Amino acid sequence: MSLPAGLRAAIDKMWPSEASEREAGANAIRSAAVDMVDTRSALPALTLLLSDQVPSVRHAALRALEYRADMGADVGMAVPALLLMQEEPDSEMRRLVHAALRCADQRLRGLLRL
Amino acid sequence: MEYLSTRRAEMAAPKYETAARAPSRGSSVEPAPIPASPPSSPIDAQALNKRLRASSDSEQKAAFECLRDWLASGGVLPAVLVPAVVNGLGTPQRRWALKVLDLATHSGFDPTPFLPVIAGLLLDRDDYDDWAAHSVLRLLLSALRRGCDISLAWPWLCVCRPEGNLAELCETRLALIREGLESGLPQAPVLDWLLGQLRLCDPRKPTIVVGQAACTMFSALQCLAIAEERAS
Repeated sequence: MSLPAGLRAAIDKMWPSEASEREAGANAIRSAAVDMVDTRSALPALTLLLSDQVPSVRHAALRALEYRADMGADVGMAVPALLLMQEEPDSEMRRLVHAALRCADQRLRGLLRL
Repeated sequence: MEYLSTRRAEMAAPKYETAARAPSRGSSVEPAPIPASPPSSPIDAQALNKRLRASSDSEQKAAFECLRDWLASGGVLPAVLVPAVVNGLGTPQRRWALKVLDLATHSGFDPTPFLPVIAGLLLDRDDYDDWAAHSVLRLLLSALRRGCDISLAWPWLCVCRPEGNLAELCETRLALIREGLESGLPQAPVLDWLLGQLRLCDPRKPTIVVGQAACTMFSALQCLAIAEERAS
């Protein structure tokens, strides 16, 4: 499976660097998903960004994951990290977390018992 | 009797003069032991990083094989390769990446920062088969033995291929459950699966199948005993 160069660059950005770069990487993954690019290979990096110290980075990763989940793609890899985010102080982030978990639960046939 | 005592003496005496003898066809050859000291020829981490991020599957696979051999020979995972290996968990090379992380954990790598991803693999439905599940559980077992907190993965231990027929998968899961319970993890997420292992096996089946079922039941009972002891 060959990765588009843009997707590879976005994945690389999400590893330790400046917070603005990690955020840009996550946003680029979301844009790629909007363009119907298969972003499965970005899931490990996106999952790790869910526990980033910077809220805007977490938010960007969450938006990318929620979009992928909403499209019916598998986000099972991010579920344990999403469950840890249910107590996020920001209400918008909590909304995205629950939306992503609901989609994941449908795919996992009610396994999460939400 | 004299023959027996001679045979026993022969079997007890170690033989060191067999190095030059080639193994005959069909004989069991033991795997080469892992050397205690690091290998003398270092790997080119930068070149390997480039190959791990290559666009072709075969190139990536070759790089993972190279890295596996390096780790199996006593090397350590260079920090520069960690992102590429973890990214590999989201590609068709997942099993290779898991094998590399498992070997790296044995040689001192701390997988704790990546446990959310490893735990998530138990819920991922891409590359969902018994061997993939076995690879994930093996890595979790290595992490637990290293002293990592695997509580994030614990609730999902038995939802990944619960009916898997692979003997290695069952053995690894039971070992992980036993050691997890001993380390104080809760019994609730694994109790139903453990009780499910106490099923009757048709004694008319091949002996190996009956024996395997008996071993599984015995291990499950051991786990249940640990759980009961913890609960009381």
